[in-house]
Amino acid sequence: MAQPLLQIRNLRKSYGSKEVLKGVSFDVPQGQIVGLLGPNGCGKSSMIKSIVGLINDYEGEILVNGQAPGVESKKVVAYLPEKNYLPPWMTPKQAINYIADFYKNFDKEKAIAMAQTFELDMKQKLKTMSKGQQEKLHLILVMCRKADLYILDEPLGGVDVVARDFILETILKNHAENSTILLSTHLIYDIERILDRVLMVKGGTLAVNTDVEKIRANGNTVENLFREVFSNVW
Amino acid sequence: MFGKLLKHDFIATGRFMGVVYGVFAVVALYLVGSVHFSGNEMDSIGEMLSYIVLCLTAFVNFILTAVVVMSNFQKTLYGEQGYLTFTLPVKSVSVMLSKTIVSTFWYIAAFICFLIAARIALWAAGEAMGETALGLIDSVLAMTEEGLSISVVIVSVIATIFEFFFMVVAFTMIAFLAITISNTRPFQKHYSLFSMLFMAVIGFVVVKLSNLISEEIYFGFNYNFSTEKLAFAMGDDARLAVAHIDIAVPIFLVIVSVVFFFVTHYLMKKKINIR
Repeated sequence: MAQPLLQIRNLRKSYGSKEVLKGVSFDVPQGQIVGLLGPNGCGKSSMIKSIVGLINDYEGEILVNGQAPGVESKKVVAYLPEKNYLPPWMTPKQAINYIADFYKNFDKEKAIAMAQTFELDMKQKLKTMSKGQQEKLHLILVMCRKADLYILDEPLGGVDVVARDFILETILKNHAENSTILLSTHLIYDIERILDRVLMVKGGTLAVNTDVEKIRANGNTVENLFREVFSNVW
Repeated sequence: MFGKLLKHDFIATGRFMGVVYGVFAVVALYLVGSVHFSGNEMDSIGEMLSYIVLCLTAFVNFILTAVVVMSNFQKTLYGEQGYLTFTLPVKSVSVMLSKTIVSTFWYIAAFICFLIAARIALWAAGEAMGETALGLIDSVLAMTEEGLSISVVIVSVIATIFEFFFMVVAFTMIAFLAITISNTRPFQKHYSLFSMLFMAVIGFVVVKLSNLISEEIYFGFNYNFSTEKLAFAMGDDARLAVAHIDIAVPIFLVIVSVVFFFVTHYLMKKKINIR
């Protein structure tokens, strides 16, 4: 049996005395679209930050392609954070060149073509762009990499329903073949149709780890299951 | 990859510093050209003003360099841009090294500007008095009680440049350490305030220790006027020398810089959670 692309064993993370991840373990196989679901503050972002190497002081084990987060894992992980991580003075042209400089698996020509399709002005500074334009650029930078694992943290947050469809379509059209997508969101309805698997994080533990097929076979939906699991949170 | 980090750190800081050096270069060229073609006298208002701007730019360069370097460090590592920096497939020690090299470069550039401004001032004054710059210094030195020669000045300038280089690196590492400590969890909310506070405290301790070393330990190179060569000296030989290049304090500053570099790197890697 092939080694899972992402392996997490007994992951714990605390901020001071507050434990946000309480021994989470799961595997993510190659080629799946996985929804990482849970309300705000449940530990999703800490988990993602640990996987991509932004948090190093966690306990437990994280393996991406068999390697702990580091230089090698970062080569194969394409991460879309919730925040705008580019300097405000950068233009799309400079941002594309920047990413092309550091990632060998970044397809620069495809990125330029996508920027033209999305009608981005290659010389416009980020600080003068609309939020939608900035999100398009971030999406281009991530989806033009031939990565093994795409980690998308709340890519649909704060945008209207048309933009959500556009973002999902861009992700589905452009991710590398046989790659895995870990998609963190609380907008379940929009992504339910594309998910292969769901992970639901509740109070720092993994409450649900199952195939979407199984949920459907039981006559349920991901959204309803989410309601059941988190009904007592609010 | 390290070359790429350097390139992008230069681009990020050079956008602003380039403008400052551009202004400096234009003013310096105007002043030199104007004095040269106007009968070697700095008597027009334009020349006087450009001379003031030149001196101001040379001085302000140091402050601007410090601000740009520290702000770049904070923003690209611990601000939102940290999400980009820390997910690049590069070692964190390379990120630190790149920032250290780029900041040292800009401080050295600021110092060179300062020397150029001083040189232009000497040249302009010399031209006005019908003397060369070195001749002018010699005339001033001859008026001193000790009758110091130009060699003493040259050795002193070399000693100053030598010490300045290590001071700059140490100052950069103090700033990086202070910013990093202030971005750890207990201080993160008021990181700007704590950055300044830690910089002042760590800087004060380093300066005190440097002063103690410079008062108690003497070793370095003396300039021998008869052979016109540098020779190693220590103890009273070094302390009483007229022209001496000290290496005790630079060695201390190197040790401080290396220790601070690795402490900063450890904190950056293990204790920082980007906001």
